[in-house]
Amino acid sequence: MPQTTIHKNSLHLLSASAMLVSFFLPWVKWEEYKMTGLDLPTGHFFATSAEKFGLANPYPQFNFTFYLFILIPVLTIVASFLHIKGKKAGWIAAIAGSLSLTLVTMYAIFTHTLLDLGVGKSLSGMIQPSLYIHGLAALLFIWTSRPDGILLKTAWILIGPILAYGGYSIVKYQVENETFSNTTKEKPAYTVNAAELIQEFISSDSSANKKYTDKIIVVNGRISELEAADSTINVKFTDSTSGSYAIFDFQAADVAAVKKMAVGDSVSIKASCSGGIFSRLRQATVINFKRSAINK
Amino acid sequence: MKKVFLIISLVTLSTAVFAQVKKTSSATISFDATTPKDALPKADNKTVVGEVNTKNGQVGFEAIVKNFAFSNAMIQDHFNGEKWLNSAKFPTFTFVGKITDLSKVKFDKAGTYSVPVTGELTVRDVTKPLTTTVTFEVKDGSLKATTSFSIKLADYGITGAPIEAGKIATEPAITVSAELK
Repeated sequence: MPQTTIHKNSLHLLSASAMLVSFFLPWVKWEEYKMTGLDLPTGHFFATSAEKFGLANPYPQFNFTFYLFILIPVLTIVASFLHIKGKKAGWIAAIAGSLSLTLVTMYAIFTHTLLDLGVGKSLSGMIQPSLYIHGLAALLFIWTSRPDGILLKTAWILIGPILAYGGYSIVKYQVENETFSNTTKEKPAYTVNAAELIQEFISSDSSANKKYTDKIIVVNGRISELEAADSTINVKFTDSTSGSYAIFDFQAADVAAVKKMAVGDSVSIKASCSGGIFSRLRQATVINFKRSAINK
Repeated sequence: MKKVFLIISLVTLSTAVFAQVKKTSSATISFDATTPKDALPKADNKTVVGEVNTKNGQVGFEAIVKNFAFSNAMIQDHFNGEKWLNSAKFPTFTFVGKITDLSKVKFDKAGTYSVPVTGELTVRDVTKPLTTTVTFEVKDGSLKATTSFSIKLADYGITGAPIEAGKIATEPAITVSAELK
């Protein structure tokens, strides 16, 4: 066997070993949370990001596709075994390497997004040596696989990062340009009477906040007050005994309809609940709603 | 924080005693942290509690942080998140202050009066002194108040890569307007 082939075989098996070991070591560190290559396919990656930093996968319906990355260690072992046996396993090695480079790119890009949110101090400080080792090993694994073919190998090396970056750019564009949908089309989590809602917050604002905040609620009641707010009108339901109230700021599409309403009118409002507080200024419970719509 | 509560309580007490308080539940606060790199961090809150005591010059406002409405869901989430305003833990912005020279405002006479107001702004449980010029417009028995000022986010413990990268203004502009009755 020629000397260069022996060197190439050694490099191939060395890169396979590095890929295997580094896959299970931390690739990135988000504050105290370390993520290994295995954490994306197991779901731990996005679960941690969502729970600890409020950044969830915007398309959870595609989570099942991440299982594909479990193939990295499996294919690496299979390709190495066939390589030792002197068989051509270039395709298998190329798929394993390409999946690795895709995953490496995804981790780096996503960590950069977390950095934008204020997590960590620098990208270089958050990326761990194992990510670099895994990326380099994957590159070498593709390059030293049989059969030879520079163009094809270059394509296998580039395709994963290009697809990962392209996919990320599309998702980023969609998320950044997404606006809130018309509240009228939203499905409510609860339908309540205004007086009962106010009493619920007065009784225990912590449990009421837990129940209603950030949810779409339909509130039915009789208008106590209409109050000018900039160029729009807010609707208030007030508990006359305590002075506590629920107040609704309307989405642009519904302002004209609200301006036609009068105090005493019965109305059904669908809105996003921003929660309630005990107002120190008012000495009463105040519950805020935004993006409200007349519930038809 | 106790000091803020005490001042707020005094504002409220004076309200009851003198009944010279003009108030609203629908003051508007506009928050603008946009930069040339990012036009998204901008929001309005139109359900702010506001009060002006025309007798002793006490002024105050109180806003529920979660009611700032952004056009973009992601930015709204970030604004309320732990790294930024942490609205789950610190649900309100408050300002309590006093018109420094009350004699310059004739609340019973139509006209426009611009006067300094000095007080304390509390954001994320951090209280800092703030002086701003408030314009009062007295007209047909109604009272309008407007003011604009900026705050240094770092003063309130809000820092991070997006601010350093110029995606969020280090000193967002805040505009408050209220029609008080």
